[in-house]
Parts: sequence; C-alpha cells; structure tokens
Amino acid sequence: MDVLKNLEEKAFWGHEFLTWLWYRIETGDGDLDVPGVGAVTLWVEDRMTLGSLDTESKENILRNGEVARSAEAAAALAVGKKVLSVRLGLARGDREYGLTLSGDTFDLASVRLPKVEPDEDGEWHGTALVRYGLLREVLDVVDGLFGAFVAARLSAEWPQTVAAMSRWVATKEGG
Amino acid sequence: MGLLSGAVRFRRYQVLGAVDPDAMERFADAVEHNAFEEFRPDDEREQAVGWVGTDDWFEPGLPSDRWWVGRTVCLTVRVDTRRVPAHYLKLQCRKTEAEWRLKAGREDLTRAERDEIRAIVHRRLLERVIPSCQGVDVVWDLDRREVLVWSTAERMNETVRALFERTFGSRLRPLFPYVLAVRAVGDDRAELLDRVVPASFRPEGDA
Repeated sequence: MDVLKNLEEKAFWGHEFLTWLWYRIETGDGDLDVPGVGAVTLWVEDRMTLGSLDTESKENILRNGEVARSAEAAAALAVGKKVLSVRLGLARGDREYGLTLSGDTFDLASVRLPKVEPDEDGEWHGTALVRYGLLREVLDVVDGLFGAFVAARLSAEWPQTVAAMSRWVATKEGG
Repeated sequence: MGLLSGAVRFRRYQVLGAVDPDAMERFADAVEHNAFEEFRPDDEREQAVGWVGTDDWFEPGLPSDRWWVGRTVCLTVRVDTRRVPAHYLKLQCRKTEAEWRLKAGREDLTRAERDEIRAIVHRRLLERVIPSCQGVDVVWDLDRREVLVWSTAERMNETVRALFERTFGSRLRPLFPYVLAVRAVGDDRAELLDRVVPASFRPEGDA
C-alpha cells in the first residue's frame, strides 16, 4: 500500500476524528477516559482550521480567542466542513501539555512539554529519556482516543453518533 | 529545537520488519559508516547528509554510548547544503568563456568546452559558498518499533527516511491516521476500513 499516495483519499479519518474529538470535548466538559491511559482533560486552545475535501470552498483558519465557540467555527461546521487541524491543551495528573495536531498526517507541531531540569552531571541521556517519556504520554493519549474513535466509527451505533453530532452542530449554529 | 530542548514538532513512523537481537553491534558499524562527512576542498557535492550526535553536531566519532539511550537510538541527521546562485554562475561562465575564446583565437567554443568551463567555474564557486546547516533529531524506540522524526517538512522527511533505511536496513511507514486505524483494528480486519465512506455532520434539513 502506498500510504503517501493514498493520503488524500484517506485523510477523512483524521478530519472526522478531530471533529468527533471536539464534539466529545464540548459535550463532556473535556474530561475524558482514554483507553489504556485513564482520565485526562482536553480543551481546544486558540487555533483551528476547518475545511472540506468535498468542496472547493476555502479553509477557515481561526486564530486567537475562543475559536471553538466562535460563530465562524459554527458556520463552517454547519456547511459540512470538518476540522483539518487543531491546537489542543491536555492535562494528565499535574502535567500539562499543548499540541497542534494535523488531521491529514497526525504530525504534531508546537508541542509544549512540562519543564525538564537538565541533568546535573552534564549528561544529556536523562533529559532525552524524560522528554521522550513525556512525548510518549501525549502519543498514548492520541492513540487511545483515536482507537476509541475507530471503534465508534465501525460500531453499529455510529449512525446515532452522527445524529448526535449533527444536533450538536445545529445547536452551535443556533447558539 | 528538538529532543533535548524547546518546542517540538515531529512525524511518527512505524519500523517495518524485525530487528535482530544482536542489533547493537550491527548498528554501531552502520552508524559509523553513515556518519556525517564534512565537505572536502575538492568536494563536488552540493549536499552532505549523515548522522551526528544529538548532543553535539560538530563532535566527530559516533561510538554507541553516544546514541544508545535506554532502549532507544537517539541520533541527529545533519544536512549541510551549499548552492551556487544560478545567475552568478551564468555570469561567471560567460566571463570565462570570453577569456577562452580570446586565448583560443576562435569565435565559437564547442559544447564540450562550454561544459568543461561550467564544471570548472561551478567547482571554483562552490568552494567559496558557506553551507547552511540543518539538524533533525531522530528517536527510534526499539520496543515499540516506532521512530519520531523532528520535522514535518516532507522533503526533510524523505532525506531522513532514505538515510535511516540505508543505515539500518528497515523501511519506515508514516503513522498517518489510516495506518493507525489499521493498527487499531488489526491487519486481518483492515478491509472493514475500506468500506467506510466519509460521514456528514451537517444538521438535517440543511441544504
């Protein structure tokens, strides 16, 4: 399978996931139980891009402020656009992260990690392992959430989820 | 900015194929063999690519204790690029061709002569170019068989994939959403995913 070649065709998996995640965050106060990880809190930060693979309409690039609650975001959802990328905040225990997740590739950008004190002996291996461990925590959360989305997407209850998400979109539009 | 400090951006890969238990010894040779080599004075390369230590890109030598960290391989791909500005090269070639014509006492130069002049001028100018230097950290988690590449630029990722595959003999598959979906359901159920078509979340009744 040529993954790069099929990227555009299969990109909807990432876009639907990010849209579903936004819905889950807003309808559950951001407290999520992530399979394999446990309880985390997620929130949408100050950046989001919405668009559509089906139409030639322009992307909506939203920056600054409460983008998730903006009228532009609601209007974009209402015409069938999905989330192409989003900046998220993540808290697990006393650790807080920030990350921008691309729906096309799942590339992570501008990842903000908790501060790691440098090794006292000037060695760097400890710093590398601790920072890598923190990144793994972020990846485990993304993987756990995406696994839950895939299970929901393939389940018999998916039509009900779509209906609930459509009502959520209608509420946002009206609200 | 990368593994050791600052904000982070990366692309994630799955390492295809099994890794030998005696990987350490084999990797040590392979990493040394593919270590970064500085441009030499007579070097005609426009780009130099190779492994360097994540802690110090300019310190030579890559013994395994510099990059074998826990159960991970931590290395940096250094990419030095030097390019002669095309317009300046053209002007210098024109100037040198004029000198050759004068010396040869002819109006025209052959195609071979013009090619030779271009190569000479290009080599001479290349020596004067200060290369740009980029580094991209790479972490290979052997237990998870995953690699993180500290760049999301496709061209840089291509360079990293090629060096990784040349060094370790294993291919890298980007962990894009569909690939992760296949991993979540298992290869034997992957065909289920191919039946899925995009959903619409537009409110019912909207045109």
